[in-house]
Amino acid sequence: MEEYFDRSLSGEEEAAIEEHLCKCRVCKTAYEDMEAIITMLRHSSTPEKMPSREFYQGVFNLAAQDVEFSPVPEEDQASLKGRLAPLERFLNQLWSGRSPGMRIVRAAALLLFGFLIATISWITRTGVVGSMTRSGSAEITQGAASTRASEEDLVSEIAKGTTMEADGTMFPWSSRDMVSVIDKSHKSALEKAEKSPSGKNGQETEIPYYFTDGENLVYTVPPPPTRQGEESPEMLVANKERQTEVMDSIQRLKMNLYLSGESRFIPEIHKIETFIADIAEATDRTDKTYFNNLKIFQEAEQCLVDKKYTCAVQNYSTVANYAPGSLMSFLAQFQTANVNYEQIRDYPAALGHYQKCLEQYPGHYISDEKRGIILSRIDILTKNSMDNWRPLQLYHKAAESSTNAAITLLKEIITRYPASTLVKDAIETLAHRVISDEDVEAATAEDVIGFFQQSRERFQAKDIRQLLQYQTADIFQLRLMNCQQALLEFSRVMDIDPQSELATKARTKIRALYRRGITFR
Amino acid sequence: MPIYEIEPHIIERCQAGDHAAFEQMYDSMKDDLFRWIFSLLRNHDEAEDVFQECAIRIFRHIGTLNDTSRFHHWVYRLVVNQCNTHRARRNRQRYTPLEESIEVKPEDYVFRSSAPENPRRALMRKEMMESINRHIASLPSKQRLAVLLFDVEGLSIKEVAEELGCSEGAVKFNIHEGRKKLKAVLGPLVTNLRDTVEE
Repeated sequence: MEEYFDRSLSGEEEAAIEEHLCKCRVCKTAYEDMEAIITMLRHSSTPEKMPSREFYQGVFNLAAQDVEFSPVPEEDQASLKGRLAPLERFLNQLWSGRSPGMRIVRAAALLLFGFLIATISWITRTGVVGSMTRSGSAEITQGAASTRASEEDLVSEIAKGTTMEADGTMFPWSSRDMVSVIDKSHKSALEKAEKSPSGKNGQETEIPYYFTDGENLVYTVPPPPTRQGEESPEMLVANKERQTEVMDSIQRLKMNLYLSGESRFIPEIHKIETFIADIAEATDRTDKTYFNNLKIFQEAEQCLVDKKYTCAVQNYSTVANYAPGSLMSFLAQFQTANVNYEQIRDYPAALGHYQKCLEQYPGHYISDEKRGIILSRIDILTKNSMDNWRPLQLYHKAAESSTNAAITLLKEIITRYPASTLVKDAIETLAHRVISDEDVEAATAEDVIGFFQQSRERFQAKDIRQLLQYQTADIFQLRLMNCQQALLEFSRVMDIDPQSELATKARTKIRALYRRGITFR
Repeated sequence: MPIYEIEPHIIERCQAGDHAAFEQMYDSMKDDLFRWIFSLLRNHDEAEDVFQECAIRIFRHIGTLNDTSRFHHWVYRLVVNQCNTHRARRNRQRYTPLEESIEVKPEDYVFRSSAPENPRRALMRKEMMESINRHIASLPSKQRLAVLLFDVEGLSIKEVAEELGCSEGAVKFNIHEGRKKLKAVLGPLVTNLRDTVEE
């Protein structure tokens, strides 16, 4: 056995040991004990918290004092660091906040800042802005490539700092992509700056021309240089899929904020969204419907923050109907279903909307997470469509109520809707609430045990009877601390159906009680 | 990135005094280094102190390392020495138990259970952690290091032998002895804990 743990056995020898472990109880217990000890060792060797960023940075600075660094190019060192210092301070301040919600918002803001920079970089280079500012110029004007090179230079350096700060966030749009985009623009600008004085022909040096055709100013912009197999910044910014990806991350972010009860940050995200929408529109290749719908979508979300659920559903429906088949429409459909399910509890409507989500929209709109939610809820809703979803209503209401009220509601499900698929859940939840709530009085626990006993006589199905018996035993052991009685009740679980999973669980419990010295009297 | 994945060319650039390479090396190894020191000392504040000393030494002496592919061995050795020196300096024969601030989270269970943790179990878990730390501390130095390097860090017998500067046979003996002692004192705890979780 020792050698097995030393990892020094051959594959065959290990297999032989493993086979033996399946048969021999004594060795298996010895094996499990040793494994548990090693697990404990590993577990206790992991720090509860890691040092702060400031600590790590401080140690680096301290250790670096002893090192004689070789000289580095001045651009890398002084000018860049000097220019980035205020930004660094700003970012540090941003990151020092404690609220997790605010951190998510900040992470989003930083990522989006990177996005903005990429866009600005592209716009500056392709001359969209240039054409406006230089509209007064006449005849052939060469774009001031060198000036722009230094602008882009700065932009790219700032972006480098920014995206590094944003590293490790939950967004699918990797900050590294952004750095590479910016790096490319930076390099091409530098190349242009180098070429421009020597270039004989403007066309060759890829500097845009501005000229007039008599009255109007016309400009031509050569396409940004694209290396083979790589996307240009322009393509990246105007790429619909990427825009969708970013907007989708924002939707996910918002959903997480709702779920974590941090919905007060939603208005902040709305500002970011509007900003992106403006930029995306400036690229002029966007899905206009998406951004037109965004405003109504935001209103709907505001309604959710304000707990005006009917109003939210109305707004979502408007979005869903406005451009059927669009991503925004799908998101609205999904949200309508969620609000109907979670808040309004209009189950038929929720079921209809969830089904539409699956039927009317392309598969790639639906993330795995969303698909999981949709399918599980459709499953619950269809299985509980009897009695007009009343048991489901009771069950959800119980989840929000105090323990005593919940007990009454769960009992109602068990007595009035014995055919519902929720009966088992109700039994388990009922027992769990009695056990876990310290304020529940012993009398209430005994009352629930009595109720379980009565119910056991009414139900024919073995599995439900067994579950009632098992939960009775659990309440005896964990709530009433009557281990003797619990032992008896657990043994009755096995009498009902000795082959079931619950019987196995009961057996384990009995063994545990035995080990603690409790035996049948 | 684990320390052993830092590429030799980065170490060579460090030896040449490249600031960016130092940053890269430090960023890659800092978390790993801290965890390792923590697993030896089992005290957050002390681990931070020793981390600082180790970082200074690594930076100062990296130029003396001849074979850059053995960087992680060199760091391990340095860390082990530094931890020993630290303990000797403080003249502590036993570890300080983990601080009071152990957060109680259900996922922290050694044996996972879906049931929410009640205060009784939380207390038990805390006591168990303290007990583990105390018992690990009570092992002789070589046994403790052998067990931690092999079972916690996942090094091979051969690697442990290299780190500790002894034969593979001696390492095996130390691991077995260490485990035997831990099993004798922690065995009842394991059974107890299993019972509680099974409840």
